[in-house]
Amino acid sequence: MNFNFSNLSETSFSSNSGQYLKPYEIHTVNLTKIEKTELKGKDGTEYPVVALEFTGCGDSKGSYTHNLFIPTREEDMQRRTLKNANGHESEVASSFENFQYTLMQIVHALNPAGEEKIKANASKIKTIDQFIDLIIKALAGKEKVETNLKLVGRNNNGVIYSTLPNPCGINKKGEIFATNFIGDNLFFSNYELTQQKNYKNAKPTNMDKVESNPDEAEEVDLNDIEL
Amino acid sequence: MKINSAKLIVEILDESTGELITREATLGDFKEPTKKTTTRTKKPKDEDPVAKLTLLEGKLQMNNAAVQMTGFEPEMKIDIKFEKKGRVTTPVMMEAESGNRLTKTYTISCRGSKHDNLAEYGDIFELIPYEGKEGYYKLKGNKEKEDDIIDVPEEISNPEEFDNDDDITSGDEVDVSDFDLDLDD
Repeated sequence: MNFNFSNLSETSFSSNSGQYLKPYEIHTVNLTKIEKTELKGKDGTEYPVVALEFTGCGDSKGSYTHNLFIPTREEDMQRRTLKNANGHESEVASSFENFQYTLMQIVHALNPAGEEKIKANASKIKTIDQFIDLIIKALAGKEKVETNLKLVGRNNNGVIYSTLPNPCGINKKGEIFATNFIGDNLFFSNYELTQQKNYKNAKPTNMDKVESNPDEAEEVDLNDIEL
Repeated sequence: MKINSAKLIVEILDESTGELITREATLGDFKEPTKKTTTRTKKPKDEDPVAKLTLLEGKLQMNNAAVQMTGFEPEMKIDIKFEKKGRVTTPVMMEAESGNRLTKTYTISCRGSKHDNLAEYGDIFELIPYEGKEGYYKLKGNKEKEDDIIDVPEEISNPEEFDNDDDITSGDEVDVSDFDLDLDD
């Protein structure tokens, strides 16, 4: 029998697929993909998203894809008020603000000159599609630029998944400010550190007590995804 | 000495006649104002040349050297965040919108989980300027944090105890270096 070893030179024998970048870590990554696409909801409705794929490099193994919902509704422009356990109310950024800050912060990290060009032409941008096209243009060819990415966790029925932290916050005066998740100067806030401890100290789920529902598992619950 | 009473003497000049009239009035008992005595506890002089931050109940106190080093002023918003490199987490102090206001006595509110998280590193922190990041200061606590001590498994820390049975070059295994890989021939 003749064995063919000609594939040795071209083949990668260790797989990166199925490995995900862990939450509550700062990873060295490349932005390997950015595209406008659609995500199907439970009811079959298709939601427009910008899919961002980050692939780990160096010691960071795996990948992380973030689906950033494109704001389309009037309420996406509105800020919300949340009440914490102590009854204190605080304002959170609107979906539109989060959308802008996420994409502009990525451009700032990977193509600062591109960011300046977008800012200089801000008055010419009239639609969300124009804005997205400019972002995609600014990030084209930047797939090999290494940067740092901060991932936190989101809890979905007791399972912690990686997610991007909020890219901005609102102070008591109602002013918006950026909070870094990509590039340099990445730190965990006290809240994130506490969440990280809870995540690390979590005990494995007792699968015998979990009601299995495979149909539900395959569907994406849009309410669980932070914009 | 004590004043019991006081008298007021008034001289009135009648300009038409040139007569000088003297009137005397007693003002009654004169009471000396009671002096308020305030006892101030003298603060120990802060002459420590090392920039430090002390974790007190509910707050962090900057010493003089820390104020001078950072240039932080009252009303500035100061935050303590955490940098994570591998398994080592380091608290870092910086000016940030998310932080708490620095008071006139150079204290920053630090309560609840923030206090507990910092206390894991100690109660006195030396401020070390973060190289390459102006305005950022690493906080070196006076306590060694348990999580940051990396456990090295015994079998790895002592390589002499490695089991050589699985070594690819040992025993009757084929020595890869015997292959003639020169493909130009």
